[in-house]
Amino acid sequence: MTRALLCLVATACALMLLLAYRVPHIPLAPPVGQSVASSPPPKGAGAGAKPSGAKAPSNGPPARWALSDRGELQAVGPPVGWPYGHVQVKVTLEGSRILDVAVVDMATTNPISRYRSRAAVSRLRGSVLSGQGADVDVVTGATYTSDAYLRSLQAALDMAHGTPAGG
Amino acid sequence: MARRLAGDRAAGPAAGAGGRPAEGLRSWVRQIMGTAISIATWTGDGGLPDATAATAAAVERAFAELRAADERFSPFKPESQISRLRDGAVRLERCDAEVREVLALCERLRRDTGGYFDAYAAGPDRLDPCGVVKGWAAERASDLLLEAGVAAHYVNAGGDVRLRGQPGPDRLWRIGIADPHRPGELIATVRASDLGIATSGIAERGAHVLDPHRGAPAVELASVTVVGESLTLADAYATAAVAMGPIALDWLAGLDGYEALLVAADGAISGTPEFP
Repeated sequence: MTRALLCLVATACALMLLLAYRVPHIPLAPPVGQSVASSPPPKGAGAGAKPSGAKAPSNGPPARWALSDRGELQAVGPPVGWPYGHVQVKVTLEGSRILDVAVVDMATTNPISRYRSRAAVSRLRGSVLSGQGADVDVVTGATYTSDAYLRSLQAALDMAHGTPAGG
Repeated sequence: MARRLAGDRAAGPAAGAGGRPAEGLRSWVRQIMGTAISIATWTGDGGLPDATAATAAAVERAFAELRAADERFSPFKPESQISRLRDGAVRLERCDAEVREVLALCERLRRDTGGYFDAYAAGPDRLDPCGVVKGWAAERASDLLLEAGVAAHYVNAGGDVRLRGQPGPDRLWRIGIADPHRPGELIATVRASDLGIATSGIAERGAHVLDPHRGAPAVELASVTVVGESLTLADAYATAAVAMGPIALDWLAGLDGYEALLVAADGAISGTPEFP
């Protein structure tokens, strides 16, 4: 069951949106009747489970995975573009439990950022999430941003779980 | 089934205590309508032995519905009914009932929004119902899942989310609202069940939302999130609000059954009085 997915440790404050996509979007197993399209990296990594390789699969273009010293699986999704830049994320898993999600590369040229005003604070800032880790199931947001994150993170997760990408 | 909605001012790991993501949560993602569409389902322990296969089949039918909507409505596909209608290759009476339904909805929304929601915002020969189709299609996909017995699920069509049921007996879905100025961060979380929640903004396609009254892109609001019973309407209201700019707050506050959170281009946040 999904119990193993429930624990999550966030490292940095800039990762909330990524976290939002972590738990619900990790199929525990390929959907019934669907075969695993590509050989998945080892999951679960029970004691003695040996990785067959810790480098990128030869055909996996930009996404890659590796095992850390402690036997954690680290999967890096491909850079995903959006109109103001691009983003690339890495997920760290122990078995199917996500330990961490991190942005490994992000470029944004959003000109709107320049207009941000720190003085503009309202009562709703009381619900600002500040680096505490957001335990959310789903995210609403303007399409391009979340879409890019989703694709980037999902690619990493698909990689880690050997889940066939949807058509 | 009762609609439930709650704000979460104390977000953080501790807030999830006792309400952790439940067992039986599974998700599927497909690329449809030019965006990533996610469906997540929750199945309780009392599920039937074949619940997993039945759920997976229902999810695939829901995705098929979304693909069909894309084929019908995309103004970017030359053979879609919307494109053929726009190009004069087919008359409205010959279009599918779904197309007539959506275009009637567009007309109703144009009136309800004082013209700020306008499928013809880009010009009389530039029919584009995209502002309503994504939410409408996600709502239908969710309906199909419910009819198939998948009581607890959500459909997230590129940020337009329809929630049904609850992911566990004592738990509500937790929705994060993305910060339009800081990719990767949230400005708020909402806990809810049986609701639609949609966000529109200038980050969505750059400054893509046209103010039909000026014919120019709307730029004052970075994003508007609308929550309410119908995802279709929430999506359209959010799009209209971005086109309205700052006056949208008063308009949104006057809507019955819908609440909104607005983020201005300068970062200022405002909400309707009942926004959680």
